[in-house]
Amino acid sequence: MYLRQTTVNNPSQHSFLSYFGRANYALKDRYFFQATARVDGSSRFGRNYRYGFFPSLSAGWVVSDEPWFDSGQISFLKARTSWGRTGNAALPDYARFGTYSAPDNGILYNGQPILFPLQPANPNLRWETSRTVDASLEIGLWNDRVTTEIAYYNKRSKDVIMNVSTPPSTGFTNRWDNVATILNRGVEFSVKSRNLIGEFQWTTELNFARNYNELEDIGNYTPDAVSGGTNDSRVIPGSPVGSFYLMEFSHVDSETGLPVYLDREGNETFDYDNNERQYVGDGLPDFIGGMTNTFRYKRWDLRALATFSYGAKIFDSSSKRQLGVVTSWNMRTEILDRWRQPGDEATFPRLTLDETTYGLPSGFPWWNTSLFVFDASYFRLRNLTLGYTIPVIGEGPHAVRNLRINASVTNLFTITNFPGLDPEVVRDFENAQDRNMSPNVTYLTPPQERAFTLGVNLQF
Amino acid sequence: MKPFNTPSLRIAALALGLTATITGCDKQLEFEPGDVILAEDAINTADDLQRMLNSNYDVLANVLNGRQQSIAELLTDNMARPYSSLDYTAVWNRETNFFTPTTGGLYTDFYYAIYRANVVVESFDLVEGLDDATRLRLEAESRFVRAVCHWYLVKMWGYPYGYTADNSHLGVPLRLDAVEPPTPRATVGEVYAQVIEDFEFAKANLPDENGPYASSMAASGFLAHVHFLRRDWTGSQMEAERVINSGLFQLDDDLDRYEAGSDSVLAGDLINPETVFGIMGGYFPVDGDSLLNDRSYAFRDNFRQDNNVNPQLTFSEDIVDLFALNAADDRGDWVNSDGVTHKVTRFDGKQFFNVPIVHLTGLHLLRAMSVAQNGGDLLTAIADINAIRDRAFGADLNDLDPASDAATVMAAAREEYRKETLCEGWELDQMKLRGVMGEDETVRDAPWDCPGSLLQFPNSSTTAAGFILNEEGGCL
Repeated sequence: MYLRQTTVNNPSQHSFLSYFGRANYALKDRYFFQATARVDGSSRFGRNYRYGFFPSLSAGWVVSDEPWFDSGQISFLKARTSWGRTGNAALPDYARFGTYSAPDNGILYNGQPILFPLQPANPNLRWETSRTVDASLEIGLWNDRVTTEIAYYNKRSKDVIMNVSTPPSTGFTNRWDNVATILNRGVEFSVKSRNLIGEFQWTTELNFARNYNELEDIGNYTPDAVSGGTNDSRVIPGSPVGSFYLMEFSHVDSETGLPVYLDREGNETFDYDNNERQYVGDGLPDFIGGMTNTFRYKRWDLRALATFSYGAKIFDSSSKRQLGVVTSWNMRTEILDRWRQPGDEATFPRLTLDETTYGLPSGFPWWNTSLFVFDASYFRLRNLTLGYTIPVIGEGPHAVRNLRINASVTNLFTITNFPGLDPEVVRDFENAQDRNMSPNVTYLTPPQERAFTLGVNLQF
Repeated sequence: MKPFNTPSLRIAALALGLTATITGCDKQLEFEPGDVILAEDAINTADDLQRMLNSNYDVLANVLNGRQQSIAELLTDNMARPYSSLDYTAVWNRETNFFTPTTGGLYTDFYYAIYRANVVVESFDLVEGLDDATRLRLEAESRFVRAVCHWYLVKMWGYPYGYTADNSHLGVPLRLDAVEPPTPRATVGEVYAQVIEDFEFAKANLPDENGPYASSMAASGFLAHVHFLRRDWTGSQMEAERVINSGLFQLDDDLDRYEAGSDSVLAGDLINPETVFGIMGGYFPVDGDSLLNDRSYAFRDNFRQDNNVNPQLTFSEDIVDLFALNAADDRGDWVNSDGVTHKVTRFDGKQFFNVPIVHLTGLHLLRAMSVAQNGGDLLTAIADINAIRDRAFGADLNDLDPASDAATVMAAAREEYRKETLCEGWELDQMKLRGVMGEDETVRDAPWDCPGSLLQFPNSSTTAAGFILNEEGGCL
């Protein structure tokens, strides 16, 4: 098959040219095989690296359909595995070109026109590729009254495309490049159980996922080469993408009221040194999940959806203005727990208008420390809906065939130790790099709203 | 045998067909940006090269418009604590770090100019029929700009020449090629050698005069400064004298070297007679005209006190004391002191003005200092100093005694140099030179070379592994 997709968004344009094919083979309705192959070309890459070949293979086996399979408990059992290679071309349309200003740029020096470079060429930009291997088991128990699936995946992305800062001595300060290798691997588990059937029904759906993310390599670049979002997170080999890269805070010295930091060797120091920034946490949870319980009794139904996340951290970036060096910003009430006199054991150090009091360089009040990294674990009742349904009202052509009245609450409550507004951070960054780099950084980020909804649904 | 009746032939035919299809459709994947010029199409004519060269001057004008000078002044004893700027306060405290945007931006802009200069030099083969004279001029001007930028960089981000016996201490990346990958810091010795080579090339291949652009005399003017900092007194004196004796420049009659434009009058038409090399400052916009050339804004915005109750930069107590020694010094009028704040009046009433960089006043005083150091004809040095003093105090009212010894001449020249170059950034050179010569030199109670006295490189410099930053945190 052949597909050409062109997007024109003046003045930017790009196109993709794709060839793909797929072959399916089913043997005895028990063995399933699929092979796909595609060649994708993108205008975003130069001629030498324009096309990528992305094959995949998968196989499935319905074990429970085997003649020899005989289990009174297991009503369905299927194993599945796949291997595949995919490509990503998410970068600006003309990133590979070296460009200069237009002739009519309007800039003069001493009345004379100038010509100047805008961005460096990178003819070697190429597809970011990901190799994914996964395997899963689907199980149905007791005539599928309980169904479950467990899956494992391992995805290694190479030549990951990023916008990197380059030394100014090169004449440019940033460029797009294939720079990183990133590993994602994890397990996903889901189960659906019809706990009670009959007039009173109760169904539970539970899902659980754990993902391990690691930036394995970033070539000759340093962690500061890739930034984005709030600029408090970096790429650190051996840690997740977008890890918090800050000065580690130890405690408040009870005698002086000054903050004590830890350098990279773990030594205590009163000096805040940007060269001693280190990994102090990340926004990646150890696991996440959700659970839905649905109850039905005659015309009534009640549905509760809860989500949870455990192990992620949040860097509350605005705290440095609200709980740090005193500036024109309003302070938060937590600052009441501050050092006031020798002997005080306090969370926050003595108040100051002078950043050097905290060991910061003068003119640098940006007190980015692990003091403002918080546990973001939470359990949230995301939605609770109570409904009442009347199947038919009246007769004839004007009869109401269905009437449903429901009342629902979104984000009814959240259980968390996070002291800020919302442990579930939803930022408003426009580009993907910003989003990926600051996945769990708040900066006066508005919390999600709690909504009460009353609905009436009529069908004629 | 029928065609394609064997598997291998069928596969070959399929592959051939697929290849032909891909090749045929490949042009569907060719999109080029429409509102800019591709690098390979940017330089085709001598005019293109000239416009590229113009952009070198454009960047130079954007860093020497008071940005570099303000930062250099803040590193000396000339300035009081800045009014409110966090970045300037960091410079004043000698505590810049790799997140300080003002110094990082300055560093970056110098390298923009160096990159563009290298592009010009490497692009001659792209232009058919480029005559040798034009090619030589373009290369000489480009290398002049490259030398200026490398020299300013190494002065502010590296310890001075002579700090180590063989000048093996680290300077800044030396960029002589537009396409090479990131490079580490070269030694100060290597940077100075290249700076001198580039200035010598400009000196040998440019006309003595070239309007507001690089010239042979401008190269000599810079070389006088460069050799002075190398303590090559003979070389400095020789280059200064070449400019002084050329007859192309004259000391201004008044103390104001910053010639301002006015409505519809380009400041560029009002070049000060003692400017050997400078920046063209622009003019007032008239009748809705857009402002085309504002190249003096950092002086204006940092120093002016006639339109700003709280100017960002003001003089230190030291400067007040300096002028208090002789109330007849007209340069004392550059200070408006209420006893607490000592504001700068030198730029009052000026909106867009030319910025002299290398000027005859400075070269006279450099010659005087070189002669005093070198055991030369002290009467020449004394005449240089008195020419400056006559203008500041009135003819013969405060002349240096012709019988003065070398130490007295040196001290007088240093004092005049400091006064004349207030706000111009040159005192930083003097301060570092005194330090490297072993004199007792402190700035705000810290040794002149305390860790932090050098500006810190921007964070982006470290994105290529192995870059060595300057030491911080030892000046307070």
